[in-house]
Amino acid sequence: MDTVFAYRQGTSFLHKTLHPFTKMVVFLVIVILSGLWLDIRYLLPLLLVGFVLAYIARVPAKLFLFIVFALALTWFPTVRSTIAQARPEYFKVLDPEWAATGILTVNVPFLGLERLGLTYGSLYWLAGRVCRFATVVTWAIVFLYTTPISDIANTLYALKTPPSIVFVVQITYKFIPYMASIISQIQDAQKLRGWHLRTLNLVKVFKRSLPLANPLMRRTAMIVEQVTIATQVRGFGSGKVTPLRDLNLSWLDKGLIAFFIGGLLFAFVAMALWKVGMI
Amino acid sequence: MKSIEAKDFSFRYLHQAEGENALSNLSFEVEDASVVGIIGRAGAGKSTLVKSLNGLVPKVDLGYQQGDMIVDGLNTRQYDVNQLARHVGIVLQNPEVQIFSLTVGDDVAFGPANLGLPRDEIFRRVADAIRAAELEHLVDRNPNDISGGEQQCLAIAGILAMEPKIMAFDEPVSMLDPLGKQRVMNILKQVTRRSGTTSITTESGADIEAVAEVVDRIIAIDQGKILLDGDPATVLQDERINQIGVGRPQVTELFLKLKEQGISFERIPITLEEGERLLAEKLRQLGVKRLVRPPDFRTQQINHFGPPVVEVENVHHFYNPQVHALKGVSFKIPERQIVGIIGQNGSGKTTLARHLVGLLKPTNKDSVLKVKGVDIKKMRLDKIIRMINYVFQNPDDQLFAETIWDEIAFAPRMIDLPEDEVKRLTEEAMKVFDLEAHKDRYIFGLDEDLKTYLSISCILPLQPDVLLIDEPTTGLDEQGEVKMMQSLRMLRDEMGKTIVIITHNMKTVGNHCDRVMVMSKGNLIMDGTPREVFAQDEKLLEADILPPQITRLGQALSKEFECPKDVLTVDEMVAIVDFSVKNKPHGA
Repeated sequence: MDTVFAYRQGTSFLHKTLHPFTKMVVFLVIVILSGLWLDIRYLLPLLLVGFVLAYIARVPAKLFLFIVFALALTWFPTVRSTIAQARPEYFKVLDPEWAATGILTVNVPFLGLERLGLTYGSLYWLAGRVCRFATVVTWAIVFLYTTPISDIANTLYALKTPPSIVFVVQITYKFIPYMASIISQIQDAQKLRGWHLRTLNLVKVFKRSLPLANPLMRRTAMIVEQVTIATQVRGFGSGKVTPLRDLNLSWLDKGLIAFFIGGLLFAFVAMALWKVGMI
Repeated sequence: MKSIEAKDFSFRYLHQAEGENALSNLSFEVEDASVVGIIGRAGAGKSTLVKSLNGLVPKVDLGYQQGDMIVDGLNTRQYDVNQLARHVGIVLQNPEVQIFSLTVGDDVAFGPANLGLPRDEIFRRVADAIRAAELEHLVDRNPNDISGGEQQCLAIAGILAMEPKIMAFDEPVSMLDPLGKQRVMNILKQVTRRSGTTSITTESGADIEAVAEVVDRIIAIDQGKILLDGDPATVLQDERINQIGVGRPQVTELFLKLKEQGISFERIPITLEEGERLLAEKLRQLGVKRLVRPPDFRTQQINHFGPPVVEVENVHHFYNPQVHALKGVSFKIPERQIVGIIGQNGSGKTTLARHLVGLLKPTNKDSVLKVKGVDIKKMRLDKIIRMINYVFQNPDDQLFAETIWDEIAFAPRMIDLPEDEVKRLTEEAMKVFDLEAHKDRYIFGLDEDLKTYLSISCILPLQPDVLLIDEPTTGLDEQGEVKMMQSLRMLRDEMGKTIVIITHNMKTVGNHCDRVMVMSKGNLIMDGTPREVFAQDEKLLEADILPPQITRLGQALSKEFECPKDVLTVDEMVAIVDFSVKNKPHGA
């Protein structure tokens, strides 16, 4: 079964041709750019390129449902932040008057809030925020779908990253799908005993979370113990780790790395001088 | 040279009260290049003993140690676990938690790379280990895409690449299909013979035959103490072996029973090969030419099954376009039948079970899935579970409540039954596995057998007509297995339940099932009585299945002595040999 943020073998250009280090650099640049920019006019092309790459790598479309799921889970802080963007002085690039035009606003004369609600500007901000999140997740899915963790680990070792950091990355990545399958198994086992969460009573919700939480904690503790044993007996933590491969970048890789790092530097300058990416 | 010396070694975990040791006053020595089996029921202290070999107890699993454990000349008190890793390697039960990389080759290199060895040395060790574990053809494969047996061989290769002097295996085959078990045990044997490594392997009973094939010494432990220690034949013949509930290989059991019948042998075998040779010699010596079943021996149970309760027709399931997990499976199960589903890891057994309880839906539209004549494909799960239910293999996936009573009462409470009905159903469910005396015990710290009985008892208050149980005998000793199967039979006989078990334990299937279905690569390839199915040894190999040892003994003797190829139990073989010896004029 395909799992979000998990690697799957493939024959695409992204799987076979690009060096993991190049993919790491490109992904990092995209994450930084998405963090810098909030203007949907700049973020949207990044998102679209992400989708094109996902298509090339044959990433199953259903994995992107994670974006919807995660956005749905975080609706409350998102709405809270959106309605707080109703004041004109928050906007540096957009016309403050247009941005502050209210769709549904209220004045709050305490706690220094002054004005809350939906304005053109707050909706523009919301679109940028959703696009930023979708961009980072899309590129993360593509990166992890096309790059095995062993390659990431070897690259990190070759870059002299401390072994403990590499190992944490490696184990987290390896056990995401494993833990996901255990959670789903526990949930299924309890469903077969009539368990459900269909109630609005918060006390009941808490009580009914125990049939999931207790076995999950127990299983997690067991897995942590077993993984600790399995790593210790294979000498993890003995000292210096030998990287299995050198970086060996091709000219294509070097070119792409230079292009993206150059692009990032230009984005910094453009933002500082011309407020590119800001709203 | 001695590779292991335990000197009055005792260990108590932090949570144990004083005097409640996990291991008590163990003193033994293990010579270089030997293969030692540590046998005992679940909780006897086997895993603790294995962990003590490289200091995991007390350094990772904290507790109090007395006495010393000397491995490869090093006192484990004075070294860290990762320092001892160069001397002692451990292979755990579950291969999944021992694999860290995404290619077989990289995973084998994980250990040597951690030791900071030069790259040439790492590649040499990886090549040697992969060759020894017979994984050459899988070097570039993703470990998630190989079979359970291959994954366990990979875990072994990962340890071999560390080039330890001692290798310890903690129930290495308990999660594998029969051929996977055989493959792993063969690798273990070859590695020891070739490299002179000392191997220690633990076993709680179900795979005692596989262990007996490879060990040259057995230490039986019970409640943390050594009960028996000696050569395998002597230990496995000892009457005290029954006390620890591990059981004996079927050939050993056969020869001991034949001895009781007055047929003496120069020695009691512990392996199939030896058993076949000794029995053939004895039969020749006695002038027996044919092994025939006594005419009064009932080869068929007279069971009155009801109308079909489960109907499955043309069920397909695709997890994704590349993974076709079920390929048009069709069958019917009548009421009150006990059915065993067997097959290699990944053959589709669990996917099929998940369809039967509505956790998965067929991916084709023209399939039929009916329970008691009702189409369950569009039925809600809360309705299905009162008709057919499924118990997962690992009790830890479901147990959560404070006491046994609360755990069993959970399901009827969830479906909003009145409290007096909850009480009645809970009490009724507890009787099936005699849990009444334990009803107030805390779930935490329950023994494996109680956890297994409890996980099945938990769904009984929902009163399903069909019970699907995944590996009901895993983790149980021989007595526990007998109790489990007697209770399931009682559920069938007294409550009219239909029982479907998914298992790798061929002895359980041979001894207790009315019917066996064999799955292979998403297909149902064989379906019949255990006799019919186990008699077709060559077709079974396609599904990586080996019949029970006693059946294989009969098959091995069939060429010379025309022994029936469908012998299912030790008692049946005793009856055949005894009858054939006593009736030579007829048999000759």
